[in-house]
Amino acid sequence: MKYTNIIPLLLLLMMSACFKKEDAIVLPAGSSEIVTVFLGTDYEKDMYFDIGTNSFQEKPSADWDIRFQTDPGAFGVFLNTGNNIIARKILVSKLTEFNANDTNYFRSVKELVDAPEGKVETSAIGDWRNYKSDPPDRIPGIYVIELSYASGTDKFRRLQLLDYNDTAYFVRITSLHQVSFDTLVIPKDKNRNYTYYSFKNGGHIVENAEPDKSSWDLVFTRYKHIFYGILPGNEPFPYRVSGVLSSPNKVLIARDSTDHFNDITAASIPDYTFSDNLNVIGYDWKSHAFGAAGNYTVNSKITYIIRDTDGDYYKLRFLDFYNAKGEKGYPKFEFVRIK
Amino acid sequence: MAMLSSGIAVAQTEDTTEIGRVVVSTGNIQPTTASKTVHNVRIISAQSIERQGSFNLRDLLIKENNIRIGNDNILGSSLSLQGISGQNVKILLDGIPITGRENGNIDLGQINLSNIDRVEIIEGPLSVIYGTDALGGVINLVSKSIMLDSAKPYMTYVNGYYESIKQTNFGAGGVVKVKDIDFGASINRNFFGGFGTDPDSRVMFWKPKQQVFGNFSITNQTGKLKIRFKTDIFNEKIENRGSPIVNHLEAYAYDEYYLTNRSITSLSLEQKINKQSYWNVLSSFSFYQRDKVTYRKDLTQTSNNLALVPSPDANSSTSFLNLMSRGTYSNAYKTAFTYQLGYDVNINSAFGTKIEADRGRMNDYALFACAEIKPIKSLSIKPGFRASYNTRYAAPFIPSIQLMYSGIKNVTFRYAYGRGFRAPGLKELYLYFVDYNHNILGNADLKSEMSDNHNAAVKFKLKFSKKLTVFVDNSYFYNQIYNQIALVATNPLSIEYTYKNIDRFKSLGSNLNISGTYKNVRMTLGGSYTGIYNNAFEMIGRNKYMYTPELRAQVAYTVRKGSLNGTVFSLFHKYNGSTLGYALDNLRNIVTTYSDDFHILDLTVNKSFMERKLNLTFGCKNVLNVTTIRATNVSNSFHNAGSNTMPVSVGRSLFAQLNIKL
Repeated sequence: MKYTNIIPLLLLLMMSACFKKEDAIVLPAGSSEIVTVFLGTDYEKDMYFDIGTNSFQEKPSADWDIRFQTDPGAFGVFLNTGNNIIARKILVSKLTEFNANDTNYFRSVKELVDAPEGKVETSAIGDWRNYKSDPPDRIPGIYVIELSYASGTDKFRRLQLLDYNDTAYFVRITSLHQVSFDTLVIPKDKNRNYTYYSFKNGGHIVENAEPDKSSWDLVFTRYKHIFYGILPGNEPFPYRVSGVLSSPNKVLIARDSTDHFNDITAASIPDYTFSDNLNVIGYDWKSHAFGAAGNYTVNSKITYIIRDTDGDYYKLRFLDFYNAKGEKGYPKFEFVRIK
Repeated sequence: MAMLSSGIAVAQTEDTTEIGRVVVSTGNIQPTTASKTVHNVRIISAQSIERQGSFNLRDLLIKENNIRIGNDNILGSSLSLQGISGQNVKILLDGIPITGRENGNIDLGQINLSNIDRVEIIEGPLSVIYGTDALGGVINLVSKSIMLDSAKPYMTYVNGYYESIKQTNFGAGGVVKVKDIDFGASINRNFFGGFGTDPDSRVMFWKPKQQVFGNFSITNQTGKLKIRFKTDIFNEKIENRGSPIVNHLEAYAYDEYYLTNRSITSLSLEQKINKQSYWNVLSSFSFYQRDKVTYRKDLTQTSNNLALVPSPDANSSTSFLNLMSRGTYSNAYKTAFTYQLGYDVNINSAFGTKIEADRGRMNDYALFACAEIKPIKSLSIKPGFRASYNTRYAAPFIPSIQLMYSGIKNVTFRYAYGRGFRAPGLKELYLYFVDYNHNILGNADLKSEMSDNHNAAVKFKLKFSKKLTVFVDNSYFYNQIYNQIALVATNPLSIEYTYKNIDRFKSLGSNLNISGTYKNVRMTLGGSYTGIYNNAFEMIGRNKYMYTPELRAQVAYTVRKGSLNGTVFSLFHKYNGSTLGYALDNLRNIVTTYSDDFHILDLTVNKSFMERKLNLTFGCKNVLNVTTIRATNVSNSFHNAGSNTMPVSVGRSLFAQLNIKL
């Protein structure tokens, strides 16, 4: 072997090792709507989307703290987890048994956060009726609500859920300093999925915090997802995410990560298992890249099959999380009616 | 000082088992053989590097004990030494600090080994001489210094490397002597084609990467004065292709390019004044720049299809400048008393889109002194200190002491205490990173991180027969780092963060290394057991060390007869035990960190032809095909649900390497 013969071979090897060029892509046929929505510079807006009319309605996300279900038999009370509102269940029988001196005690009590599915069973407050009617020790539904935006003892509110019927809730809401209090009637707003309440400025019902419930199917919002496997002992770890929740008003969603978006048709509908959990779409259609790049990648391989409030079926998938300028917080998605 | 060795010819040995004859240049008053240095030093020779087929520092260190390598597909490979993270380990090229730390670490994959004569690893602080960042240890790469004689006034070399994971390297260089001056130049290009689990996808986890290394040197030795001028340049391009966004209206992707340039230009002067004293001055200018550029690529076209994404998040640039001058005067006044006086000046500047006011400057002026006292022949005491003035923070006073006792035949004891420090980085002082997901501000009031390190070691030379000598080396270490800089939320309800000196870190452990040669077999077996402790553990009531074991074996069999005479068959094995720990993420939430154990096993065959002019190595790397391990760490915690794996390597590969010297 003559070693000088090897040099051209090595040169050849070197030449062949270069960044790869790509072939041009031919665009697929299709007729879907393509929409980009802006979520605000600090995700401060809730963007309600009606898939049937392809239109958005915008509401401030931090205007309310807790909300009450409005269906005639419903009794669920939920927190604005997107605004970091926390509840703690306090085992006392009277609201006056604790006050502003007990804030250290509150902090030692386990924090409760709603699970993202939007069900009473997995909510922070839960089925408070049991506490009310448990003889002989009638333990009422007493909670301390912690407000992320306030400070000092003003951070806390006492909440007692007394009763409910088909048209209203009967509650007590007080600061830690109050010694006497009235029963408050919170009417069920039939036009909306929830009646919204804010503790700000002495406390008040927030009208119009949600659009008319027949006029939206999905909402882009912030909420808390509960992660497992992060804290020691597999303790639940609630962490605020930005994502998409569905309307509790007859919306059902299925998720398909195997079939391509273009291949899903009305004929596929019977194969899917639809869920009324509010977070079927959730947050994980986008992921934050591992490592230094630190950018968001959208998983376009997931298609969501949506039955909207009107009973029509659509398929939807996400395409991008950036606008053309490269700014984040601009989800782009495509959808098309299939039935 | 590190440069001194290059002028003094010492026979290079074939393997680290005969470490006694290998010259050590890092941190010694005079270049000295490893068995005589008071530091506990590990040396990896060029021959060993060649036999391993390692072309960069990452590839080499992944098989070393007490070192763990972390991999990030953009930032590259980082290391931890004695459980201490890489930001506290100083990496030097011929005694010059390599600049350009991303996230505190030098990317080990950017350090090419084709022109390296040896790698010296010293565990424990050498802050007296090398200043900041040297509190965990020092890794010094010593370049090949080819001095020609007038009988054959030129030399050229060519090297090629191919690995089946689409890694292709090619290099060439030469030295020519004109009158008394040696001119040397070399160029190397390493290309990695990228690798992803889905071969059809344009997205690859291991990013395609092109690296070009250049080198130019002028060396002159007339009489006792040796002058060497040298420039090393490096250029890297990483292509990070985004996932394609395709619908019936458009097809595009966001492609990122990471472009790195680094240059180190140095002038080294050294002169032997007389038999007992000499001086040297090493001055350098280093430049590092890293740019990230993002394009929106139109995938429906093949040309004119790149549009720059204008968002400031998508494009960034950071650069660092370092001017360094270090000079020493050494005097072997008596055999019983040697001393060294020195200065070390560092002028640093940082510029970048994320540096506050687009600028940060830090100058450091230091004086240091070391002595080696031998009250009796077998005892060596080496005290030292460093006093410095820094324009940005109160620089600490750094003492150190090292002892070596060799009064018992074939046994050497060493003990070293050193204080180390890490200056707050310009980023930690002046970072200005505010956008709608981040609000991180540097803290100009940071103090330096401090460490205390104790190292004790004992070495035995056991001579069983003429044919079998076994070296046993047992060492223990204890490190404590305090004032460790951590990112802290200043307002828990918002996203405002700054850096503060709040964390405490400890590590301790032991190493045992046994090596020996019997007939045609050379074997090195080693193990280490390292525990780390972080005060973050206390917050959740876990006040104990988290331990991890490591094992390492290297076996080489040399054929001594027949047509395969001289062929070396080698096995390189490293076992990394599982790790468990707790750490705080950027939001100061406690996260558990763990990683599964894994093995790295390489098998190689090496043979020289034509009077060592041609050297061929081929083999299989990562025989067990370890690609990822189950792990969580701080950087990939809950933001990446489902990605609880840590990348280790691209996977099993076959390689062939050819080095030719003419």
